[in-house]
Amino acid sequence: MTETAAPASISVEQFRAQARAWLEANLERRTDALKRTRGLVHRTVEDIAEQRALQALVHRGGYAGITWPVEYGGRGLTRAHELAYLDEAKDFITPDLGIAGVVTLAVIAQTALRHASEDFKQRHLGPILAGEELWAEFLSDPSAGSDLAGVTTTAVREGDHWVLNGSKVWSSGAYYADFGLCLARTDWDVPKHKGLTWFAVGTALPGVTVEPLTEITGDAEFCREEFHDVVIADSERIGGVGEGWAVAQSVLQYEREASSGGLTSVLTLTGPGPLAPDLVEMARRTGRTGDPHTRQLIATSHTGDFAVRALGARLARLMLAGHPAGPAIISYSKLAVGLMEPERAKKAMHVGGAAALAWEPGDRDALTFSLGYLNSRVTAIAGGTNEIQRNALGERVLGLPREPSFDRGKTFRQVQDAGQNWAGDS
Amino acid sequence: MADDASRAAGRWIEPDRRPITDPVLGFFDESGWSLTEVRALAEAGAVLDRPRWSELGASGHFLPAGGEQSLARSAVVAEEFGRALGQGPFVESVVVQLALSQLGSESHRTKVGPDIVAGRQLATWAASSIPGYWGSGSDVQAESSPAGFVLNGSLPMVLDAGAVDWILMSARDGAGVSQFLIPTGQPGLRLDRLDSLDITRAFYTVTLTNVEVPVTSLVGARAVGTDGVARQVRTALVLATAMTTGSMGHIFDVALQYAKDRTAFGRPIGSFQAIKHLLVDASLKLETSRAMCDAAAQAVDEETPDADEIVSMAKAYVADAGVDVAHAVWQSLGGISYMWENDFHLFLRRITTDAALFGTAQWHNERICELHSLAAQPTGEQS
Ligand SMILES: Cc1cc2nc3c(=O)[nH]c(=O)nc-3n(C[C@H](O)[C@H](O)[C@H](O)COP(=O)(O)OP(=O)(O)OC[C@H]3O[C@@H](n4cnc5c(N)ncnc54)[C@H](O)[C@@H]3O)c2cc1C
Repeated sequence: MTETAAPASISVEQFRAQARAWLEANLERRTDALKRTRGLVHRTVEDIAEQRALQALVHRGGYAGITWPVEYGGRGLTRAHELAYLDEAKDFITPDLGIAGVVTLAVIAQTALRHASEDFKQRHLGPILAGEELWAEFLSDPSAGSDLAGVTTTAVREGDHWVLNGSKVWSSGAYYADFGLCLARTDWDVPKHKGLTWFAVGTALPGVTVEPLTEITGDAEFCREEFHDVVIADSERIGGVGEGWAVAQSVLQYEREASSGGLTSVLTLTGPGPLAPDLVEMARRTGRTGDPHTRQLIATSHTGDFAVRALGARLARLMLAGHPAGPAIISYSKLAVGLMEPERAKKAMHVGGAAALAWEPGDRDALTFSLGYLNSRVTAIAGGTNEIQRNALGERVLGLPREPSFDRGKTFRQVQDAGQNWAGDS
Repeated sequence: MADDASRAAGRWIEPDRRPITDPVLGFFDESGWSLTEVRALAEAGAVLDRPRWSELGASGHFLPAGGEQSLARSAVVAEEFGRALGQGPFVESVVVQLALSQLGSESHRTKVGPDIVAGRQLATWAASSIPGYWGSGSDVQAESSPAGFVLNGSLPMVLDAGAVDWILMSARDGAGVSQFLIPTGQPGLRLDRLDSLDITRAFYTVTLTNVEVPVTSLVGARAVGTDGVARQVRTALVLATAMTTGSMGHIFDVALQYAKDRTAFGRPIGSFQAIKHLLVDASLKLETSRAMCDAAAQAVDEETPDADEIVSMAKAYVADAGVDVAHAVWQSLGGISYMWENDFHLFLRRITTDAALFGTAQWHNERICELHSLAAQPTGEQS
C-alpha cells in the first residue's frame, strides 16, 4: 500500500529524516503564516477534490495513518513518529480537507478502529487514509443536540438490511462528505440509552438529501440531511444493535480530544510566541497601541491563548501520571476553549472599535476580524456545549452528586410524552 | 473546617511530586503546624514564631541551599506552604538565599546564607525597593560616605520585617541601583507594624533615616542594576504564584466537600447546577493556575528567552483566578463563610493580598506588552 515499506523498528530520528526528504521532494513550502482567526470556511467540491489528490499523494508516500495498524493501511508506528512527521510537515502545504477531514481522521476512524467489525474496517479505513472517503458526523437531530441519546431518527431492521427515516442537522462539511456516521434509534420501547445503534450512511444512497444551511456568518458549511426509506446494509452497522450509547462515549471523547488539539501533541509546551498578532494588528490600524485599556485587553488575550495550551500540557501529563478521573479530565480543555474564545472575541471587538464594525468593501482583514467575533461561540456550543462539559466535569471528575433525572425507568416513548407534557416533576 | 491531620488523605498528588510533598507534609503533621495554630498565631497578632521557623529551616525540606535546587521543585514546596497557609518569609528567604549565593561576598555565601537556610538567622526581602517594579513607586536613595553608604527612604509592606535579623533591599545612587543586606538593628532603621487585610501575616513599613552601612553590606557589585536582580524577581514571582495556587487548592477542596455534604430542598447542594457549574469553573481556573505555575517554573529553570514573559503571565493569571476562586468558594459556602470561626476568611484575606503582592495583574499585563516592545504609535501614524 505504501511505496516504501518501513521496517517496524525504524527510529524516530531515521523516520524524521526520511519524512523531511520526502516532504522536500513532494510538497510545496508554505509561504503564508497560518492565521489564527477563523474566517469563512466554505469549501468548493472542486477545491476538496484537489485536496483529496494531495491526501492520496501523502498516503502513497507513507505519511498518512502513521500510528494506524498496518493491516488497515497505516504504518503501525508510535505517536512519537507521528509527532516528528507533524513537526517536519508544519512548514509545508499539507492536505486540508476541511472540518470533515479533521472529523474523519480524528473521530470517525478512531471510533471505527475501536468498535467496527473487521470487515467494516477493511472496507473503509484504507479509502479514508487515501482521501477517497470523507465523513461527516450525523449526531444531532433537529430535536436533540445536547441530549444526544434523545435522537428520534429511526432505523428499522428488515432482513439483512435496515431502513432509515428521519433527519440530522448541523453536520459540518456533509455537502462534500461521502458518508455520515449516523446515530439512530432502533428501539422506542426500551429506556432511551438502550435503543440506539450507529450506521455508516452513504450520502449518495437513494433517499438521502443533503442541504447546506446558511450560518450566522453567511457561510454555508454545515448541513441538514433528510432520510426517506434509506436502505442500509447490516454490514454498515458500527457496534452492536442497541449498544450505541457505549460507542457514543468514544465518539464524544475523540471529539473533545480533537477540539482540544489532541492530547499528546501538547505534551511539549512551546512558548507564547508573538503578542496576540490579530489584536496588535487591529490596534495599529486604529492607533490604539498606546492606550492602557487596549494594552490590558491585548495582554490578557495573549495570556489566555497561552493558558489554554499550558492547561492542555498539564492535562496530558496528569493523564499519563494516572489521574484518578482518567480521560474525563479532557473536558477541562474543551471548556477552557469554550469559555476563552468568546471572552477573547469580546475583547477583540473593544480593540477594533468602529473599525471592526464597518469597513471599505473588499477589506478582507476587517471582514475576517468581524467573522472571528461571529465564530467565537462555535467552541462553546459545537461538540458538546459548555454546560454539558460542566455537567461531565462536575459529576465525573469532581464527584458531585447527579441531578435528578426524569428519563430513568421509562421507555423512550414515555420519556418523549413526559417531556412534551412537563408539569415540573413526575 | 476539618483540621489537617494527615493532609495527604483523600488528595491525589502526582506520583513524581510525592518525594517532595511527603517530607513537607510530614513536617507540618509532626510539628503540629495546623490551621488551628495558624489561626491562633493570627489572632495573637501574627508576629513570626521564630522557634517554629527555625525548626522549619532545620528540617531541610523547605529552603534550598546555595540556590542549587530547581525552581520547579521549590514551587512544589511553595504550593504546599500556601495550602497550609504557612506563615513567615518563605518566598523572601529563598530570594535572599539566592541573592547571597549568587552575588554575595565570601561572608554572605559561607556564613549568613547557610544560617538563613538552617533557620538560625531570619531574613526578609523588601521587593518594593526595586526601582520601576510592581508599581510601588518607592525608592531608597544611597549616598557614598567615608564608611560606606548612607541610606534614606521608605518601603511599604515589608513582610515580617519586625521579626527578622536581616533585610535585603535595593537602593539607588548616582551610579545606579545596588543591593544591600542590612541588619534590622541598624540605627536609623524604623520598623512600623501595619494593620492588614491578611491577618495571618505581619507587614511593616520600613523607614530609613541616615542609615549608615559599610561597603561589605553590598550584595553584588555597586550599581549591579535591576538586571542583576532579574533572577530574584523571577524566583519570587514563581514561588508567590505557586503559594497562591496552594491556598486556592485548599479552599476549593473545602467547598467541594461541603457541596457534597450540605443538603437543601431535599438534595445535596452540589446537585444544583448553579453550584456544580460554579465549582467546575473554579476548578478549571485552579487547574489552569497550576498549569501556568508549572510552565513558569520550567521556563525559568530552562532559562528560555521568554521566561520573564511567562512568569508575568502566570502571576497575572493567578492573581485574577485566585480572587475568582475565593469568591466562588465564598458563595457556595453560604452563611458559614461569614463566621469568624470558619477558616475561609483567612484564605480569602491571604489570596486577595497575594493578588497584589509582587505586582497586580494590571502591572504584569503592562509588562507583557513592554516585553514585546508594543509601543504607542506617534499620532498621525494610524491608517
Ligand atoms: C458550528 C457548529 C458545528 C456543528 N457541527 C456538528 C456536526 O458536525 N455534527 C453534529 O451532529 N452536530 C453538530 N453541531 C451541533 C452541536 O453538536 C449541537 O448544537 C450541540 O451539541 C448543542 O445541541 P443543541 O444545539 O440541540 O442545543 P440544546 O441541547 O437545545 O441546548 C440549548 C441550551 O441548553 C443548554 N442545555 C441543554 N441541556 C442541558 C443540561 N442538561 N444542563 C444544562 N444546560 C443544558 C445548552 O448548554 C444550551 O445552552 C454543530 C453545531 C455548531 C454550532
